[in-house]
Amino acid sequence: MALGVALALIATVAFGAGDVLARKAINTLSPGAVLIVTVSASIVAVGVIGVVIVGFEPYFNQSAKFYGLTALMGLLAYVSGNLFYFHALKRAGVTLAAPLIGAGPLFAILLAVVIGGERPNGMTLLGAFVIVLGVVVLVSERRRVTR
Amino acid sequence: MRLAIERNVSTVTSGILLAALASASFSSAGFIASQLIDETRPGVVLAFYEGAFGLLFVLGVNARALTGTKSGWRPAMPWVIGSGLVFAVAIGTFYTALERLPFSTAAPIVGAVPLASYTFVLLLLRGQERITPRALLGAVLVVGGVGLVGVSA
Repeated sequence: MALGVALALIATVAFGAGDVLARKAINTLSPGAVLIVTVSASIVAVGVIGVVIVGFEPYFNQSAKFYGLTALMGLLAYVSGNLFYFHALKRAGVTLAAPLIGAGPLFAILLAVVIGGERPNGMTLLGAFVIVLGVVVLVSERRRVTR
Repeated sequence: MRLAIERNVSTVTSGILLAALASASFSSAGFIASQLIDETRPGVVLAFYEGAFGLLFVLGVNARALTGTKSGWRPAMPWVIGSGLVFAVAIGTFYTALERLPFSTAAPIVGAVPLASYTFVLLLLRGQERITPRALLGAVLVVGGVGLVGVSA
């Protein structure tokens, strides 16, 4: 559990750094070009780290469902996810775009209620309200320095 | 002047909409990942295949982006390679965290990304982006709300 939390915290810092590094690259390259090179470098790094940690075996002999779902994840994470996000970084900047990405759990709550039929408790509803409030505050902020 | 300001507001608004769509997509991908990960399907393997399929799709819809900006490559390369390596660490550690934590616990922790981003904005984007008090308040509210959702989960 503690290791899981530590890993999630490392991921948090790394996502934050990645956003800003990508924004720097978008100064002189198109978001699409930045994404293609970023994903390529990322795949090589994840592949090497993965082989060192878990070996080759888990990469093979997976079910067709596994490949289908990872393809769907690739579509969601990189086309409607990162491609849109990198365009958002160019247009709205890290300052406005990053908090909106952080509001993702709001969408998860909506999915759980609409598709899963769950009934959120009071704390979840309060959290959702605070997230919406934060998004409203962010969306009403249109001033930013661009170069 | 007025037209320029309106265009800027419109550009920012479209950026906000794109970020909201991206957020929904990331959440959906994370949810699917949490359902797939187990002992035979480690997080790093999932991250690799997600990236490989993602690259194919991105090349399919956006391969033209690789041409036409020749002069921009040299100054951008350190940042773009760095971004790729850092995102590899981010995705790999997040999906590995999902081997040990439920999605409902891990997702709110990663919801603090805006605060990490702001720290790096102060370090690397000084003079290019400004963290206004209202933007900071909005980010703190989002992170706080995500924290409340996490506590309730």
